[in-house]
Amino acid sequence: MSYDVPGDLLIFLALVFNLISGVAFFMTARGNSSYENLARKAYNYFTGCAILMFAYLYYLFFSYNFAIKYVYEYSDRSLSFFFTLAAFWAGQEGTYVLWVTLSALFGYIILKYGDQYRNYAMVAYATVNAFFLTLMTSLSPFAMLGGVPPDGLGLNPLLHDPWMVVHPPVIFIGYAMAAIPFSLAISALIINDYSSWVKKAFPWTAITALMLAGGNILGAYWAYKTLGWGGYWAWDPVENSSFIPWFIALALIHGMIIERRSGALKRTNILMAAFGFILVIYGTFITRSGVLSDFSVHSFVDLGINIYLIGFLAFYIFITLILFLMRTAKIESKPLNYNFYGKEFSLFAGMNLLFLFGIVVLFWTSLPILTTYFTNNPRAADVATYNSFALPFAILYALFLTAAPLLNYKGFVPKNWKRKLIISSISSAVVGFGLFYFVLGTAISFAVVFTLVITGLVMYLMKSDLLGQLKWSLGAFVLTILICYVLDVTDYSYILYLASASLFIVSNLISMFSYLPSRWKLSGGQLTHFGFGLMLLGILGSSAYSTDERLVIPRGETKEAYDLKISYQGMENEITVPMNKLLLTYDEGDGEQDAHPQLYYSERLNGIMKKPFVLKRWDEDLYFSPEQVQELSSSRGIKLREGESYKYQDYNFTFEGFTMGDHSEQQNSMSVVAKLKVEHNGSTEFLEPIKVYETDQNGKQNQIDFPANFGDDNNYSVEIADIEASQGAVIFTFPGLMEIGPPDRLIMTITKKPIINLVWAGTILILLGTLVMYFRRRSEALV
Amino acid sequence: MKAKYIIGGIIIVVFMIWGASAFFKTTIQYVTIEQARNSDKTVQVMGKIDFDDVNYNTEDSRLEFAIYDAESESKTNAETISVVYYGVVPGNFDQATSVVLKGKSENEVFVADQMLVKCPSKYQGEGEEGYQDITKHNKATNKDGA
Repeated sequence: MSYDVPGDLLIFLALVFNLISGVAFFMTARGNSSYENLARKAYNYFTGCAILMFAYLYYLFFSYNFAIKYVYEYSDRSLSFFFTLAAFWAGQEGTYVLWVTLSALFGYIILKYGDQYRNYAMVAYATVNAFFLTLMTSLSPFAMLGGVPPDGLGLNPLLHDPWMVVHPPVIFIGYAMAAIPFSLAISALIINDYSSWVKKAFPWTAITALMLAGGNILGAYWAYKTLGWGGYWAWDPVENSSFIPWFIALALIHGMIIERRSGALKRTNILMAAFGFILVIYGTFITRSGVLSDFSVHSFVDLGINIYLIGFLAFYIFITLILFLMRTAKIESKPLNYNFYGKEFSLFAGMNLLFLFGIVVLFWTSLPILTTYFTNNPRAADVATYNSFALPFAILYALFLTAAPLLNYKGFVPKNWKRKLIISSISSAVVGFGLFYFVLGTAISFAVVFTLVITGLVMYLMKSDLLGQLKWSLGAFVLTILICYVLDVTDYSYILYLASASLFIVSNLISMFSYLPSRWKLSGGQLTHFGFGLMLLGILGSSAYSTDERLVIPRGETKEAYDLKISYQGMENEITVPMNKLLLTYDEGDGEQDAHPQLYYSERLNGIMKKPFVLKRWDEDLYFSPEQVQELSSSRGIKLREGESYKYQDYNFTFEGFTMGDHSEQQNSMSVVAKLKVEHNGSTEFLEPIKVYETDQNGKQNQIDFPANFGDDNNYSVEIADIEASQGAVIFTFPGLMEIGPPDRLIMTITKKPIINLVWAGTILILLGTLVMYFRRRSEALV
Repeated sequence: MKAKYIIGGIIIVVFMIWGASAFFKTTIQYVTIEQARNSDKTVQVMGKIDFDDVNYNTEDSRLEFAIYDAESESKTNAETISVVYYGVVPGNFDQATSVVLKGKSENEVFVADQMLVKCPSKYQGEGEEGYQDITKHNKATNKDGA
């Protein structure tokens, strides 16, 4: 393959400077401080190369240099400025450039605030940068085609969306940031000093969590708004690969809060920080290597970079485990306060639940790989698999988060707690398993959750003042169950879920206000938890209680769905025109409004794209999802070949042939005369409808029809609608006798999604809470 | 310390049972056409489309076709199964090299509720029309170099 010299030179130089910087930081760390200057300089040059590479790739895009394969594949001359910005990260190669540039810049955080961890952390960090650069040498964004095409292939039409412009950079900030806690943790292991790496890593872990949450939410919202299948989350490997590190980062935040407070969990935090980043690399591996190509709706192609991905993955796992095993005996961690009524325990429980769910998703995402090696028939997890875990987990989250804000760090020891714990857990286990598993015949997971829920409630309520503090939340819990009963919600697992979610929302809402506005910096956890509760309600409401109606609307007609009158007036363009709009109007009772869902065939993606229209209301969404536009054959009339007959009511038509002739006085015209035999009640007549094609001075073609009348009162006529000369066929219409139907009809599903706005409101609060968390911890770290 | 391991052990056991139960109840197995015919569970099966036997009914959006073993060169002597799929024909169905179907066998007919059409990929790497040759050529030379 031919190479673009400046681009590939930059990759090479970046690799060299990064290597020099890594080695020099290593020498500095070994006590040879004379290397420090070189290390910093080399790092500056490496960053310079990364930025130049970034700018140069943009230069190639904006100069329409289609000799570059990447530019050719993802842009074209007609692409707007805004989307050309986004084309940069439309493919793998570009995202590596983005990633390494962000990574280079974030390295200065370690350089500036790393203190005793700086040198070894920079060595670890250099290996991370080397990872991207090595990938680039094999999958260069600057590879050339070998020819210069006049125009590029353009941007994938699904990516023509403002949300998709910002989604990848947000995700990659999160991915790149995850390397900071990783490098600091590795450095802490090497220098055997665990005193302050957590303090330094904390704000950047918060940013990792913030950006991964933001990226996932943007992606989910984009899928909802663009893909037309009606959902926002499908547990697809691509989604999971950024979901898993997000949950590990959240678990790490909980572990770090504990360590900052009481010095416990030092080993756990080291491992979570390291594996959080390793899982980012693993996510890259499963989505970029093509191992899941038969298991996902996303297109994965093997690009021959597996060996690098597996190599780095193995390297990081090996290094982390070796260092950890060497040091684990020397890490002096304080014991954790396991008091059930202490805040530390609820943080610990939260950390475990977040971590475990991350691992659950990791396991199911990897299932096709695992089963390929160990069984004959590989298996893949279904959405149902994930949901069977997500629902019980959500209930457990909700219950732990209910009491969490009310507890203090000291804890409380009630009398005879061991006996009470044993009695309440055994009795609720018996009831739980009996009820859920044997009587209601449902999954074992709900029996387990029920047991834990009841045990937890009984234990918490034994602490008398908690009962008083929780009275409003418990009220909400009971009220939700009553509402479910009134609304005929019959699925007990949903009732359990909804009631626990409202329990925890009310509890966190109350405690949230105790921090606002004066102590807002401490409210990060409350905001996040409250938002999480809203999101849980919204997710279930908008999915389990969504309803849909399928509409078939012939062009020009109006159909009703829910409280809407919807009419279809055809398509703006042909189906083959990109972004082709459907012309719809809907009426909510206060006049017609336009709605323009899109339906078009994309040659680039080789499929039909169905962009929905979403009618947003405060309490629900109505989601217009176009499925298909069917052409109706009756509309064009009756097609007859020479000699063919057609019977309609008591008329029998036979097409006897047609003659074509030039009109002598006008050179640019041509006429077609069709001969049609009509038999009716024993009488026969011959009709000769005529169609004249003429071209005027401007080269425009006109058609003039001369229909022929027939029937008892001459009230019917026959017209030539079209001629298919190649088949020797003519299409006739019979105005008066046969009405012309609409040319096509739209098949569309309208889905009603209740309380979906709670999902988005909840996610905004989660982002806000994580941001507050960052501000609080940044002021501690940057000293 | 001891309690920690007991609780940890209980959690691990619970998760193993929970996982095993989900594994057998909800995960989708990838099977051969022969296994798909004889299974009463929801499975995933891959095959090539027999284009001589495709029938689409627009009234109730029912697509009927047959697939045969993806490993076979032609449909003669290959395992085949009739498929019914309710829904819109995917736009790229005609160019499909193979399809991945998720569904269940009912009376020797595979009723698919999800269909993933595999096409010669244009998503990555392959150029189109005139430039396809250049890219292919480059790929070939690259392989030689590596």
